[in-house]
Amino acid sequence: MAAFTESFSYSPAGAPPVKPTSGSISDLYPKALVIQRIAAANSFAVLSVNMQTAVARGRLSTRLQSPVTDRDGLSIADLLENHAAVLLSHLWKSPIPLRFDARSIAPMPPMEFERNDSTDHRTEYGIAFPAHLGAMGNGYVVVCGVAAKLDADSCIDLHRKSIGLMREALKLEYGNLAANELLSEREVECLQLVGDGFKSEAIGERLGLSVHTVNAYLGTATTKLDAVNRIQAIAKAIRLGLIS
Amino acid sequence: MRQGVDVVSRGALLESLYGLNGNGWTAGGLEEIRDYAGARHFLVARFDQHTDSHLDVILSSDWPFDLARTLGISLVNSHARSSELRRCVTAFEPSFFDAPDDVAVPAGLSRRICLIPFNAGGARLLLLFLFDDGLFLSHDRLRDVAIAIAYYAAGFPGTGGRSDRTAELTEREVECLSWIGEGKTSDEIALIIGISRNTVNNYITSIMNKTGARTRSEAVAFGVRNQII
Repeated sequence: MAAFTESFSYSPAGAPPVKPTSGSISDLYPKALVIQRIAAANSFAVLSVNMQTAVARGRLSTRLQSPVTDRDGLSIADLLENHAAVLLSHLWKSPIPLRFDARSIAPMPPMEFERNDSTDHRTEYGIAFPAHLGAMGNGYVVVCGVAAKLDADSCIDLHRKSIGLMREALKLEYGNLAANELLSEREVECLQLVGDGFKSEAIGERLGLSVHTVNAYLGTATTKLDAVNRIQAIAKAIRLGLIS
Repeated sequence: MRQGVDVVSRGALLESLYGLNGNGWTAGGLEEIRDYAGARHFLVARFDQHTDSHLDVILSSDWPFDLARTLGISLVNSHARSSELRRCVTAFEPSFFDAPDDVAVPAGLSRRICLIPFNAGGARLLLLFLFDDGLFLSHDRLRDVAIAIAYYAAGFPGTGGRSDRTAELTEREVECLSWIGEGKTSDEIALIIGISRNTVNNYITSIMNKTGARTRSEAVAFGVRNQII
């Protein structure tokens, strides 16, 4: 039985699946289980979301999910299949949780949680808690088949735990990528100055190095960051938080 | 003078926030949030627009004015300058700072300041609390506040969408800048988009004029920092 899925990727645009990260995301399984239990849900999933840009389609990928069972009813797969577009756009619009069932999805403000008492509802529903952390680590914590009687108070509780989980996932992803291990101090300095608009000559002057040395530092930094040229290296370094 | 933390549930806090039906930071909800946290003064600032050291980063505050102008602004700026990874792993998590010795804090207020970064829609914001001296702080309540204030701000106009800086670049310019950030050359971009190399170079010149960048690298850095690409 697959206890969790690390590399399953749902990509509406046919983009390549996200590489599994080196940190062990499965360490977060117990925390996700707590969220599932509070909601008395059938299943959970931790989704990561990549923002849509001019050149890249938005992408949803499942980082962690509860064991896939044979039981009928609402599943994470339904959510990804039917509501991917809403999941992709909502995250940058609003922090309000999304309520979904097989057919519909809509923001559910915390004050409306009480009205969703499952005993009154025949249809199963799920909740996706948005976690917008910044340029990285964004996503949702999703519970499916919610059976607990929830209210505004439990909404805050679940949302807090969801965001905490996404923060932990981000730390796992980048934690073992310590900045000073990856790039040397000189490389970081040179990259920072390039990002600030200085040319190699000017950087050399400022740091008391020859142009060739500066270019050599930038070259090794570009290789380490797996970038094709120094401009892409700058973009990657800022996204990784190695330079500001 | 308020003493300690009033016993109000999270649900009751949200209920009164929604009851205010506010559509801006001046609507009074921040007093409710401040009281729930057991704080003395609040300050909300936006840190994603790089308006260095200007008072307009502060959206709403009942801090003593001098303290907001000095300590408040400097805390917001230092958060804005920290690395993106650091900002992301601390989002919605309260942290504490002690006011530097050269900052005069009014009598009766603690020198320990609570800082809560939160995001509401496209806006990236900071909530700063000042407390009465010697007050016991409930970290649990401060974590609740991070979520509650994001919900509260979600309904405001202007919190949706990305940073306003995006508006300055045209769609085509953003597209070009994104490809440059992916390491593509002008020739490659011309092929990808299906326009001439000269047109690509014109777009890039225009991007550099609009962003005030001296080099392509700086323009890409601008795009990444402002979350345009």
